[in-house]
Amino acid sequence: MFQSERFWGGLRGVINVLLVIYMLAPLVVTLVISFSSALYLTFPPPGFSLQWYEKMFSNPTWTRALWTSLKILVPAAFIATICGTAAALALNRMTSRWALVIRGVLMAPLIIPVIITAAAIFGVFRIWGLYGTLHGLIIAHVILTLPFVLSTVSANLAVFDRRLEDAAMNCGATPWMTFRRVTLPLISPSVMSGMLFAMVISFDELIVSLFLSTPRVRPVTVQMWSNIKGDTDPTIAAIATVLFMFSLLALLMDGIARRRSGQAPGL
Amino acid sequence: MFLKNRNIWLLAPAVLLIGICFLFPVSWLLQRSVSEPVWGLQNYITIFSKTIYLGVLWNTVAIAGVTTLLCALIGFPVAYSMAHSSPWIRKVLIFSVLIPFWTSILVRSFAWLVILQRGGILNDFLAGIGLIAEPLDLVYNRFGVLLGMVQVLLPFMVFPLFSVITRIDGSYFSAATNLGATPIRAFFRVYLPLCLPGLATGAMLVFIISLGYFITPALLGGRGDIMIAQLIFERIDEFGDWPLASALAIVLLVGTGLLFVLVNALIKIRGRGI
Amino acid sequence: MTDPILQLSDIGKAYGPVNAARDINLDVEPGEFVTFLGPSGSGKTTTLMMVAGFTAPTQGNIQLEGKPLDPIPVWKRDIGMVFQHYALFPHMSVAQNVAFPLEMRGVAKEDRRKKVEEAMEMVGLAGFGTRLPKELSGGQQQRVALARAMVFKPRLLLMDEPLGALDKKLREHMQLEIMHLHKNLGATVLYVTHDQEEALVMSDRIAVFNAGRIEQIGTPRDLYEAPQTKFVADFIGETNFVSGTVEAVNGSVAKVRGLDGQLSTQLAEGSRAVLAIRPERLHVLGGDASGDDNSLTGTVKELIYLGQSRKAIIALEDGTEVTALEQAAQAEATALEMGAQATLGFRSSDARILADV
Repeated sequence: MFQSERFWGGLRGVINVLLVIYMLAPLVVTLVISFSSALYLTFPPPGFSLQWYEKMFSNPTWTRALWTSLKILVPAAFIATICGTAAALALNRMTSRWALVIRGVLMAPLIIPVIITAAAIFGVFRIWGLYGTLHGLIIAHVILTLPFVLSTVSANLAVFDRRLEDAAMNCGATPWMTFRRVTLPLISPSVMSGMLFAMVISFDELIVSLFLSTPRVRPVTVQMWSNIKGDTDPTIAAIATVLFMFSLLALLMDGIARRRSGQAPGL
Repeated sequence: MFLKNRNIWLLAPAVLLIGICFLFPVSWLLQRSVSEPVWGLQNYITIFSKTIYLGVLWNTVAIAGVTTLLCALIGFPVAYSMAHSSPWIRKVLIFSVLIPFWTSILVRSFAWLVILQRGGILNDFLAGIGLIAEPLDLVYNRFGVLLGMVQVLLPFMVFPLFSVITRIDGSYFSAATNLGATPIRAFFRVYLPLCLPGLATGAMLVFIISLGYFITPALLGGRGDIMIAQLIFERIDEFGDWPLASALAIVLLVGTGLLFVLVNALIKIRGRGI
Repeated sequence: MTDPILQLSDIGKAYGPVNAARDINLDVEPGEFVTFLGPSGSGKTTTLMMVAGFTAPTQGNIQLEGKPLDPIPVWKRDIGMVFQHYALFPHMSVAQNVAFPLEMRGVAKEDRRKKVEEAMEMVGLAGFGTRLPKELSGGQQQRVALARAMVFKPRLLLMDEPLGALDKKLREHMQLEIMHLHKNLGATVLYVTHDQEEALVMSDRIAVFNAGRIEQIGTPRDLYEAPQTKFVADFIGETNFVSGTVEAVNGSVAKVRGLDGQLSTQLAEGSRAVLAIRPERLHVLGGDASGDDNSLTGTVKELIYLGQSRKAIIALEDGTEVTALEQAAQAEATALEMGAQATLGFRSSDARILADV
């Protein structure tokens, strides 16, 4: 039996199906339940309804939390993109041994467990009066997302032909014009995807936000966290769907941007 | 020249941000772990001598270890299947592994709760078809934690394996079976050793990342499944016990740091070997 | 004689203790085509980069049209350059690439369009403006790079191994085309190559680089006929060397191993030297050897039939192998046999006595 092609082919098919179910079923279930007409978590739902989305958007707790999340993610992603891209440009040009050390330090928040970053930031931000403020959350999210921008842009710069900049300057372009007309257009797909992923990470971030937020300033993930721990109702499924759609949209936009610029889609 | 000066200005914002709002806080944590209540290593001694803390450390290593093992057991056939499927099926598999990867862990943990809890979908379904009389405890225990963590961490195992497997020539396997080895023997003697580098990288990644996990065990686990990250959170959030929480954080930092260095060395050796 | 447009005075570039280039002196006349020729790492590209402004010299100074160039940044130098692999901007169309230098100089849109069209026509690419660089062949990309470097009528045109990436046939074709453009436009060109044949074909003058220095500057004919150093004689064309010591000096003639040759630089009696003689200046005695006043004897090691000519490799008594190249007609008159003795003659005016280093 073990010798037959059909047995192994069949086994592989079974494995594939089980994997797809294991990976995607929870998401599908959440998606479906968010449109449920039942008043409690039940599957399959008895009918279609948008009641949970209505509930979510009419409940000030959720709308305020969503709004807070946006007020964090937009500036955080923006700052992380600018600082991360600038650092990537500088590190790409540096030949000294220090470049490696600096890169390692800037990447550290991505490598070490988030709980450590969260505890450390919480500790000093409380002293500095940044605890429970939007500014504190924005700064913390910049720290967490900057490494993503740095690594995405750096990967692009590693294959960027530096002689194009020489050529531009030789053609009479000042360093600023060279950057604007040659460097930036050529690395912009990676800057874009760095920013998109910074947004996704900031929107989905829970651990640091859990430490830094107060009931007054509370992003949507923290609100979700406290609701899950209490009573679970399908409103959370609607929120979860919103979060999921946000990630999906970012992935899609990134894919389109890369295809347009002729680069291979990233992960 | 002017280029050098420009580099400093370009680096300044990122370096200042990370320095002031990351490096400084982490060193502040380190300092608190050895300076309070008095200077010394008493907080570390407490962690490594009291049963509760040792229990949490053991939990952390055990859960990370089992997660790694399960990821390897599941990841291997998946990566193999991915490498040997038609392009279309491969795309579906990659998509299935990656989409959860880009979804908030919170969302995924919530989804597992909906499915697994006592009044959840799976129990309803099993009771509905008469397979069980009493609902099963599928969540708030080790099973729930592992189920959730393996789903989250599988990509870190699958992709290193996938990249190794695609490079292995299928003819090795046929050659071995041709020479009289049973397929199972051929697998263990020929195929597995060739995949070892990918397996090692994937396993190290999964293990290191699992060590610091917080949300999944906190939501899907019970009191007996507390991991170190959760303990740090509770010590600070509920008791304001900074010295001990700091020491725990430093233990976690040093542990992951050492493993990370090991992985880097391993990857370097591998790069030289092949 | 007009004033030189470009003057390099004692320039050099040191990276720590390593001299990438040193003591470079060169005056370039307006409209001249000067080639930097040398093996890789000889300092020719470094020198070009110092003129372009990408590398700052650590010694000496450069003057363009009588004004020092060092304080002027790259983008204000008004020097056109064709890069090694063209360095065309991949996100711009061909026309946008060519228009780029004009745009940076604030040339009005209408004027810009006209000048771009002219430049494209000049390089034979009229009508290709809307394409992207990657849609063109290597030779076409090369032309776009030329057009971009020349469209703003630069004071000086630099070319860094512009033909290195092309195949032999296309390279030869482009050599002629660049020469024509140079003649028609009267541009002053500094050209870098490691291909001696290319240098001989194209240049008014060649500067031969070795180990960071210029060994010799001269017309292609000067360098070939009257090399001043062993390196130049060896690097350009094929040369036979017979080494020994200077036995006698008589004005501009010296003697090495009993053979006479022209002295290009002062050499003291007793110093180590080589006698350099081109293969085509060696005659197999027995044929027409009128005017030969020197002779060498040895054993025939190798006879190679090349159609229009014959190559004979002859081992002298001390084992030194020399090559004689004779036209077919000559070769027929002087039959040679493998292993037999042969005598070679040459004129002392064709031989050079050079210091042996």
